[in-house]
Amino acid sequence: MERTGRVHRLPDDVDTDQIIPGEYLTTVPDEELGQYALRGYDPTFADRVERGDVIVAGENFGLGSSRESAPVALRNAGVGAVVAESFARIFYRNAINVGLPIATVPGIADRVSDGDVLRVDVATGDVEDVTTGETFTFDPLPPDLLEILEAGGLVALRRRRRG
Amino acid sequence: MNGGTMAQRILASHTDATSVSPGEHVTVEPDWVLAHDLSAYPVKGRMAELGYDRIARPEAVVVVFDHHVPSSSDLITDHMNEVEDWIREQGVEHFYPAGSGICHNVLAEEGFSVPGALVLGADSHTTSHGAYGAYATGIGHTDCGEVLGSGRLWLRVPETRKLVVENALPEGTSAKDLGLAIMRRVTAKGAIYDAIEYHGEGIEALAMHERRTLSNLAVELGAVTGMVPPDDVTEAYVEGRARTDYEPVRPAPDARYAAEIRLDAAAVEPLLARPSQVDNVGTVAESAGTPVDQVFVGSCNNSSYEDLAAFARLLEGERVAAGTDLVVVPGSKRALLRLNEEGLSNAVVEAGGMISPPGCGPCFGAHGGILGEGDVCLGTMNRNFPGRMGPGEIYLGSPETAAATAIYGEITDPREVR
Repeated sequence: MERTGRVHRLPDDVDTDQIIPGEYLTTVPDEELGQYALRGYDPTFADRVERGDVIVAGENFGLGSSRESAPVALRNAGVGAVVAESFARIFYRNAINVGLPIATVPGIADRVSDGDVLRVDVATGDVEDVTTGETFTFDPLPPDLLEILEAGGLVALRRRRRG
Repeated sequence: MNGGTMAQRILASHTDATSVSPGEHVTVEPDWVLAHDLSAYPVKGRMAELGYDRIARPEAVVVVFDHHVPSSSDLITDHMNEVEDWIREQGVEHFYPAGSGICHNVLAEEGFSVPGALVLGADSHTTSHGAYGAYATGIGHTDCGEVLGSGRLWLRVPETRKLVVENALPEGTSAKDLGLAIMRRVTAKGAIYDAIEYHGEGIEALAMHERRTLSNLAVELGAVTGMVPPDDVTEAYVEGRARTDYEPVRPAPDARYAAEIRLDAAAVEPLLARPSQVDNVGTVAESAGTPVDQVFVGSCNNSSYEDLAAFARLLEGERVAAGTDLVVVPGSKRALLRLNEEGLSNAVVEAGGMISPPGCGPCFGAHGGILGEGDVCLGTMNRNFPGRMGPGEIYLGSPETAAATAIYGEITDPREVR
């Protein structure tokens, strides 16, 4: 489960309203949510992000609402992985369920810069800042959750099992 | 079972296990699964995508329409109609249509929230039901689709933090001020992944609606759930109201806590969360004089009859300041009826305020009372995230602070108008 992409550096406490504002909930189908990703934080994000890019954030990423549209918006905008010092717990579950790779890496936020190229392996727990050569490790997800993520989310996993 | 915090004991009682440990993943069968209009529509889609045709236990499902009420567009009306048809077809009988109130208020008032229960809700503020001694937590759309379809869901057993509130709140303050004092102390990321258990005479002295304000704010501390051990106050509220038999669960005397936090309620003053973080807490006095364009009283944090009555009694006979809009949204039909009976809705309207139908109101940012660029709102809700209610800025405070602020049109310490 390796992802390599350009870093978008975000601060602590980026909430779900910033990731996908309330006005787009239920009125925008999942397939179109990507174009509104992080609109409440930076309206230019969805235009700037390139497929596979990596978000590196501080603590408590995704605090707030239970809206699953938040990780869906990031995934559909092309975000390859979110690496944060910590995640709000509903966002964390939702991200795995929709197949958005996430990694909790304490201490990373201040050591990685906007625009660096980051390689993240969610299965092994290895992170490398390709630009600076610095490496980090983290506890990988338990196998049952990794299986969901590798399938592309719980819906994808169930579809695969149904054949 | 021996040992265990409230969280561990309630989770264990809803699994096949006799005891559970923090960090462990367990599969639980909840007593209630909650969804509202805004979540039920995507949940319906997810359940089908996961391969489920039928809701496993329709009798355990509660759906309340509260976010987009009354509907603000034809598309949303279509979604709501679709959800209503679906739940009828699925045999869900616990349905509360638009106008019933906010899901958390409705669950409590209609006797769903009982000690020892496990409540999973497709709304982050499901933590509210911890006030009634339940393990209650918010889940996303896929998780909700899964638990509807299978009747079960995996949960990670949290560590528990014991929050002890010593002494009682002083005159001129209320539960929201205590909630904000806790927010200042614990911070928005202070309890991520943990359960909170509220203890101490400062908690025991609180009425149920006040405890709900604290449990509601638990999610803003990052917590999975925020529980008050059931006592006589809980019993008096739940008795005669509960829809099911229930077994009160209290922590074991040898329960192990990850941390203990102590706080003196006697030192609490009227407090505010300033823009735009819930833990950017200061005293009302420090922000006094800040002009306010809108005062909003409502949301699942402070919309009970008691909250609104406290607000209306301060406003009675006064006028809302020119240039300030007052939006009052009762949390439930029951609350509105009681306000009407006691003439308190008249007091609000006569003072120049608006009363909207029971529901979430402007709080989630897509329905009425949206702020313009540069607007400042003082609200009794639980979130002031950047842009949450439009481009304006939000201060969070108590119903009493909201009343004083509405009268003067600027942030005002409620102790000045008593």
